Amino acid sequence: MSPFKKTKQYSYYWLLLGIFILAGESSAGGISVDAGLTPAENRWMIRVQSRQMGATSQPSTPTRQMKMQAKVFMAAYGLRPNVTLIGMQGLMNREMTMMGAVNESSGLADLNLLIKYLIHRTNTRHQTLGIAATTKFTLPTGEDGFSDDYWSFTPGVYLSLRRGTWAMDASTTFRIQDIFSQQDAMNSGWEYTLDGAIARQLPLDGLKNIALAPVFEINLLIDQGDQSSSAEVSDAESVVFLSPGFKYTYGSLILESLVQVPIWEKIPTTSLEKDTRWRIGFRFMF
Amino acid sequence: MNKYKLIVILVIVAILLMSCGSKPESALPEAWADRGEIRVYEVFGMDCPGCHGGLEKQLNALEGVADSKADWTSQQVMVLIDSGVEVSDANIHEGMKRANFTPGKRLK
Repeated sequence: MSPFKKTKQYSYYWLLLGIFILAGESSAGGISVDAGLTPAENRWMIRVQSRQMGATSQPSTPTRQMKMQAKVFMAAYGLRPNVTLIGMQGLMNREMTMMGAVNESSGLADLNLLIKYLIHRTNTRHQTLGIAATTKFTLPTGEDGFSDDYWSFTPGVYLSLRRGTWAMDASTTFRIQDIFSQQDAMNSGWEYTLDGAIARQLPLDGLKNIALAPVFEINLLIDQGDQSSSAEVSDAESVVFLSPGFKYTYGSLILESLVQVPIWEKIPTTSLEKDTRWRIGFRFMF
Repeated sequence: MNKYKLIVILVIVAILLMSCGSKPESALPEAWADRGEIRVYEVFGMDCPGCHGGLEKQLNALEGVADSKADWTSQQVMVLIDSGVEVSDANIHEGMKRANFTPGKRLK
């Protein structure tokens, strides 16, 4: 039996590792979803996604590894043509290995509530341009080990351009953690994301309700986790993902998959390096 | 990181992105025959097959509209109006706007 499982210090370390991974997973890509274009009034969309991710210790440090699978459920409703309400809930399963000891746990993550407001949209014969702003609140409803235990606020701006069968999306968000200062002796962290995506809708021959769209994304994530107020050096982590994928649309059903490959990473020596991530899921609109 | 794998992935995605799609022709639904007036409108803003559902839902909710069929590739929507019912173009246009699309010309 490893003492690792019993000590408070390691439990805290595990918890921190898990929350850092969770924080990073709350954004970082998967944006080619008409983000700057709000859906029609009175239209519902449900989205289910399975995300596989992991992180491994750097070669110069003791062996540690984390694997996580998240099932994310999302419901969106077009309240008005320019206002969309979105709710998002994740169910997490995490396996952490450290010095041969394995700890596996699962539970509900924090609930995310979003409002998306369409700032501008023009539709012409040749192109569609949409710009939308979002405000996201993260509520500390998750189970122990899967919750930040505080409220966070994430404003964002999304831009979508459609030209013929080409689709381009860009977005940027800034997450402000612990907006009500619920943590003692801690400096609240933040998270910045910048994403770009390009895709092309390829209508399949003679089938006007079916299209295949190769997708290519690039995602930047800078994550400054919560730090002890006595910490003197920032432990912010930065990572860039290149992400090829596809969307297959059959009427109101969309199947989607994405592989996120970390191509550049700047992290403290004690942090884990992010592994390649996978996302697969579907969307249905009605 | 295996750079060669990444290059292969990039090349495959580029080939798929550059490949050509075709534009299928719009066809009149058979079930519409002799059921009422059929109108065809241009509508701008549809960018994928999933878009037509939102537009059709808005148009079908209009008084006097029996059915509608949208085609994102031709940027057109066909609207079946119930026999003997007056539905103005302005009402149809309003339905298009609620779906976040922009009305074009009435073609038929």
